[in-house]
Amino acid sequence: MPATYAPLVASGGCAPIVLVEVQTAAGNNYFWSEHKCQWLSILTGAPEQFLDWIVGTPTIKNYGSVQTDTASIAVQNISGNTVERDAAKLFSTSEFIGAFVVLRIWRGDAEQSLQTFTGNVATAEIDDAQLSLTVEGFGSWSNTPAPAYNIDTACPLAFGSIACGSTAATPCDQSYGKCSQINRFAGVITQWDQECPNSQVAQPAPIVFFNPARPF
Amino acid sequence: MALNPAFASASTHKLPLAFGYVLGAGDQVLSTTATDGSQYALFLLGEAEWDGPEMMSTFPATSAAVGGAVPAHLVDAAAVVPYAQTFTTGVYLNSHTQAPWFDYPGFQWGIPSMHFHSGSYTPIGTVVPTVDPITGAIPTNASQSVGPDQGYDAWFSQFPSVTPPQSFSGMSYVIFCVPGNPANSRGVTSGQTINGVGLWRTTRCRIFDAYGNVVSYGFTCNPAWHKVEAILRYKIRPQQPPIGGLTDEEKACFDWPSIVELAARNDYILANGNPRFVGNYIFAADSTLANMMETMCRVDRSYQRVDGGKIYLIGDDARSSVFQASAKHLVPNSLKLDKKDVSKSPNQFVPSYRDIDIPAVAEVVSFTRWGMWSYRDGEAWGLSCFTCKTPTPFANNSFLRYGGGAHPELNGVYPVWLLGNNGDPYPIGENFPNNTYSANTLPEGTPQPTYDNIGGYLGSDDARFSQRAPTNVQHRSAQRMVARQAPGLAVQPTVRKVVYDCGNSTFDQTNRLMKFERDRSLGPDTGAGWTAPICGTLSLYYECVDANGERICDRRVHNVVSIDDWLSPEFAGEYEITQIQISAPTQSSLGQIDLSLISYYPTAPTDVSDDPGNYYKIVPNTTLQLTGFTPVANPAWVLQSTLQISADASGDGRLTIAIPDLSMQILGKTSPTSYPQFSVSGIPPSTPVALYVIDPSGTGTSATYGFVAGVAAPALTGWQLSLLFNGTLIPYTYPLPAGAMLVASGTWIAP
Repeated sequence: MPATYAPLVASGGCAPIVLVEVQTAAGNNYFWSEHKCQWLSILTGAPEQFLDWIVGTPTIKNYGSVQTDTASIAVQNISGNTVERDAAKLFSTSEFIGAFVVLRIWRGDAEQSLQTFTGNVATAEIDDAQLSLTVEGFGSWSNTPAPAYNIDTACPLAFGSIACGSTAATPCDQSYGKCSQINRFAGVITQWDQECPNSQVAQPAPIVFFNPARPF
Repeated sequence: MALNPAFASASTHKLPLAFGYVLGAGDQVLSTTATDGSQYALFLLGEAEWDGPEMMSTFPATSAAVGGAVPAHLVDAAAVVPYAQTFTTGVYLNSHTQAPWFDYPGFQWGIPSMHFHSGSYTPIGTVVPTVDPITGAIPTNASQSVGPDQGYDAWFSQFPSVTPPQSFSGMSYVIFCVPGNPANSRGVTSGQTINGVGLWRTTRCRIFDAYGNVVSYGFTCNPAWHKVEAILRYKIRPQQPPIGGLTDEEKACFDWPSIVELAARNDYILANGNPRFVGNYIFAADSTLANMMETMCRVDRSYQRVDGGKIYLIGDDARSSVFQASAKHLVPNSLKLDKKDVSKSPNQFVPSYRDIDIPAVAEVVSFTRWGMWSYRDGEAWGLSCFTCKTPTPFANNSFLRYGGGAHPELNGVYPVWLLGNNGDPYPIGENFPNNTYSANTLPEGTPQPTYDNIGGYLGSDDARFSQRAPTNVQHRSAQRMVARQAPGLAVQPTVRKVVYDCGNSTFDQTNRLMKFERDRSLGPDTGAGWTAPICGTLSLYYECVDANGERICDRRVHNVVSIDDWLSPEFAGEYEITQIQISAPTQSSLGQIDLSLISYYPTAPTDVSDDPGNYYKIVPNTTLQLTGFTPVANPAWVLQSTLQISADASGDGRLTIAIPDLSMQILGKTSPTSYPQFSVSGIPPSTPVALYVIDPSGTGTSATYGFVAGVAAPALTGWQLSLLFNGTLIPYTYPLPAGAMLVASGTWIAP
């Protein structure tokens, strides 16, 4: 047995537990486990109090292909006060979709993670008993459009990105006319595909002129 | 993912991402004919930064306008091939001038030129050459680029002024020009068509060390770096210069030792002299990173795995068992092993690819060079004759490639000239059907040998990138797993085909890949006695440890595990994990790991391909360079550069150029470096110069600045057969000092 490995419970060690850390897009952090405990958080880098909310058996699915790995987590929706349940309140006031999740199967005695799964919440469902989260793993290749850019009159760049380079206060509408950093405009507006004499093609000069000398 | 050689998506037009060598013309967005009959066409190629053209299509041209006392048949041989897709590694030539046609040192008028732009970001501050509607002039010191930088191309002036100049920041693109036919009066179109087809060296990639540091940058055919580049571009660092280094957090997304190991394994040179695996593909369809990863992993026989938030890229090579499952580990009644259902499994494995090699079309018996005579400029014309075992399919005005014979000095490209049938002054062609002639220019004194039994093969660069789908990888045993349908009837083998997209590749590589797919899924094709692979599922307790002290919880997909006699006397053996489901141990459950398994065949990964036979034989010594590319020297992208040009203190008209906002992305740096102190004096006005920075630390703290004058490209002298071009128009080269990073090049005047 490798020296760095602590013995598993079958060999006399302590039982592993599950630690779940959730960080929503709004920046709210939640720490859940099966027992109330305090462990070093990956999200914050500091010891955090993990609430004993996890129910059932969290599962992780790993595929041998480019199919996205998944995890399922359920937390109780029983606790609360006489009016509101804790998980339901979180569900209604926070947005879990897209939240970053770190799930660890944790050996407390060795302070070692046997398994670490990271990903983002794909679905969040709630009922009277529990809040269920389905998490898609970090290697969710099928969720990433690629190639990313259309050959189109609209610029595909995110306003203010390094590729865009604009530092204007007002975001653009992806059009050439509203582009505040023309050097980096990445749309393709010059669709000129014909044989043509090298002459101006524009609206003809008006045949009725406004006479500024005319009194109104 | 389907290849799209013309880059023309059927649905949404996507800016392609390509790696390795690809063939195509890009997405044409501009085309016009100028008043002098010159034609211009602009093609968008792909996401930055492409390395450049490897071979270019020649353009349709006519031999009618050639002059001089050149024998007619030699004119035919010399004229650019009038077919759309003809490639050559012919001499470098790019000279777009407005000089009269007879100044061109070649036969054909209208030698095409091109401006290739690699696709870096256009520096913020670049002056747009917008035409003033009143004066018709462009602003002073406006960008007039000829490539490969990403300034505004000088040929935009040729397009109607309603098309504002665009720099296509971040997009690799090319503009072609075919000057007008001097035989026509000016203003009359030449009638030529620019097809723009080229063989391109596409995206430059970052090369990393085992710690995630960028160590170099350049064109590569190694799929390991392609995968990293694609992941970085779309998942980790989108819309950032693809030469930047990674932050610690970004580095932590990858398991670098596994990636470096995969890259070295791909680069390993096999007995045939080629790297073990190369990747050449273009992703032009509206798709996802999953499709890219699948194609790239298939092409280098590898898999990816995410573990602990890190991306592992691992070669699918022979490996040993890492866990021995026994009866005491098993969750009761969870062992469900079965034969793989081969009744519907594919048993013919077909790679779909474009062959980057040149197919051999005839085997050479002898070589004779004769009929030489001096023409002019110290050159001589010679006729070469390849006598083959069979007639060849070459047409007049095409080119052939010879290679693989006993005299390597004869390897190369030959313009084809077919004998006529009048016998004057040459032999009657139809009497020598196995002879293929060519006319070439040769230095005077070139020997006129006759080599018998020289060997070697003929082919054509035209045939490079032919679509291939060899069907020779079959599992005959599985095909025969069909019993008689009635007494006395013969067994009728059933072939079920599966086709894998392998991008642009070779017979050797795709054959090895298909053999792997076959043997991995069905086992070795042993003939009589073959049985279908065993597959199935079993569940082991999460915390179980085997007799060697290995924990099952440390095992991952694609690991190999053993089932011992205690667990299953009938199915003991080695299996590959294809899927894992972990039910975590909790206070109410011991936890378990459900494994999906399939029989493991360690001989499936192979470095030995089958004999290509006559149909897939290639012309030796004509393989494109696949490894050992020289990295880009001192790579840096100028992100911001607003030139402040003024007359310097000398009073003689020379200039000072300061760039207070100069910002450059240097290879491997996680953020741009600023050079607010940039200022260079003594620059001659209206003279091609290049500005540069030397900053060994890349921090901007001890940088030095300077400029060098451009050196005009050498003029072409004399005339040569088959003048073709291969490269971008670079009228000036700039001899930058060692370590210098180019800031800008051009000709400037005091405003």
